[in-house]
Amino acid sequence: MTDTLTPILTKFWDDPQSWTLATYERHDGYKALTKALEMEPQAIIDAVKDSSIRGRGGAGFPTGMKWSFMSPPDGGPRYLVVNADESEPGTCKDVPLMMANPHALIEGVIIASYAIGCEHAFIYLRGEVVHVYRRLLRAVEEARAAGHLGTDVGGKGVRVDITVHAGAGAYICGEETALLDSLEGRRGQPRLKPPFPGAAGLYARPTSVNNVESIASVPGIILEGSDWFKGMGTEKSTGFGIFSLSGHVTNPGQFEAPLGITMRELIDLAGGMRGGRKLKFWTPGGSSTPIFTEEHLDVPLDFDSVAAAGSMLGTRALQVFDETVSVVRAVARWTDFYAHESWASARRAARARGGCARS
Amino acid sequence: MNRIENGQGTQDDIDKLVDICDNILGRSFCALGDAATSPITSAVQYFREEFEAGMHTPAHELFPPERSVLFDIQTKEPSGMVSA
Ligand SMILES: Cc1cc2nc3c(=O)[nH]c(=O)nc-3n(C[C@H](O)[C@H](O)[C@H](O)COP(=O)(O)O)c2cc1C
Ligand code: SF4
Repeated sequence: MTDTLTPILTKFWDDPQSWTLATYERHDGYKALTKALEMEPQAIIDAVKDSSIRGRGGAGFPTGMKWSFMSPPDGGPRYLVVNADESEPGTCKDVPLMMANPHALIEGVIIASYAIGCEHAFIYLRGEVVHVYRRLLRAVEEARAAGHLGTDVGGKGVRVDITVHAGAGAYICGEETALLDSLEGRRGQPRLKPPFPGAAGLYARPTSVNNVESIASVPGIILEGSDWFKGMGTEKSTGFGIFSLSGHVTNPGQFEAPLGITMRELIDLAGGMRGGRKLKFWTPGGSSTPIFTEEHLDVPLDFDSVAAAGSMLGTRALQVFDETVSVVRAVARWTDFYAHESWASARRAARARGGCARS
Repeated sequence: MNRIENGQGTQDDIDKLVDICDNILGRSFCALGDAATSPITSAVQYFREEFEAGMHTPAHELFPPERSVLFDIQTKEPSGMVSA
């Protein structure tokens, strides 16, 4: 059962100084970029489409499709914005990924930018994680010094640069259109859709907003091929993902595994329930996804099976609660969180009414 | 929600909670509205009796927080504890 893990993005997190360019290069780092620069941009989009990778930020929209839905180039700027806001309670995959292996993200950003014709990409990071901010800045510096960024990427005349932006840390700024508002310097409030970001996103230009893990998975797809990627996971939820187990298990942490693994297997991998206690309830994809109980332990954790069972795969944030926990109290705390993080709650305080997330 | 947590809920509170969630779901401007309802609706679905217990017993009596820790805490005789 332990061979169910597929360490790819997490493969060398335990190397000394796993985050440096030198370590990344020892593990085939930036080989995918070299290969990508030999390809036509459209061929990269096709490869990502063919891999059927679905967005890792929660909604599970196919990444390749999102790119191809962007308005066609018209000579003006186009943007890639990486969503590194990670703020759903229980979700803790992007931050450790950027800490331990920031170059996987940077390489993914460069390849994705080249593919969609973006010359200036943004990584929107939640501002509280200053240590991650510094790590990303350093990684961008290293990549630039190595010629992977700038006006002549890889000696091919390709232009790509990256700005790492630290947001102020609001849950709602993880929602892609609120994120764009925030990035533009305004208060993060969701925009009415349509227009979708692919038509009018950042500065009203065609924009693709993608989660950290989605983008960091791109170099593997380019280097190893989409069949390699499709060889993992299920038919409709291809590939691997980082499953974050937290709460009442013996060894909580990140488990990179093919989509479709079950919670029973994951709890086993995490050394079982803490103190041999009984499982009471768990979240499959963070606190905003309907909770599951013991009866769902064998539901394959892929997008469709979890949906069929009445919840959502979300961000694979598996929070585990044992029999000692009051579900009422847990839900009350989550509700406090959502009430506080709804942007309308600020207005509600002022006007005593208004806003959609009253609870 | 807070009334139920404190053991001062009424039957109306549970119904109202589910009703409000029903009203928000699918109608909010962005998905945060839906997100906020999911834990409530699903918890009532699977653990309705615990919400009902919130009409008379506070959550901290039903599930004393110190029972969730792994080390021994010397606590006074648990009073009014009802098994889950
Ligand atoms: C309230 C709310 C919060 C969100 N927070 C995040 C977040 O922290 N990180 C993230 O990647 N996506 C978040 N999303 C989803 C984004 O809107 C968007 O779908 C996602 O970044 C797209 O990336 P993907 O296609 O790679 O999954 C959030 C959505 C909502 C409605
Ligand atoms: S009030 Fe809540 S549901 Fe409505 S747009 Fe704001 S955050 Fe979204």
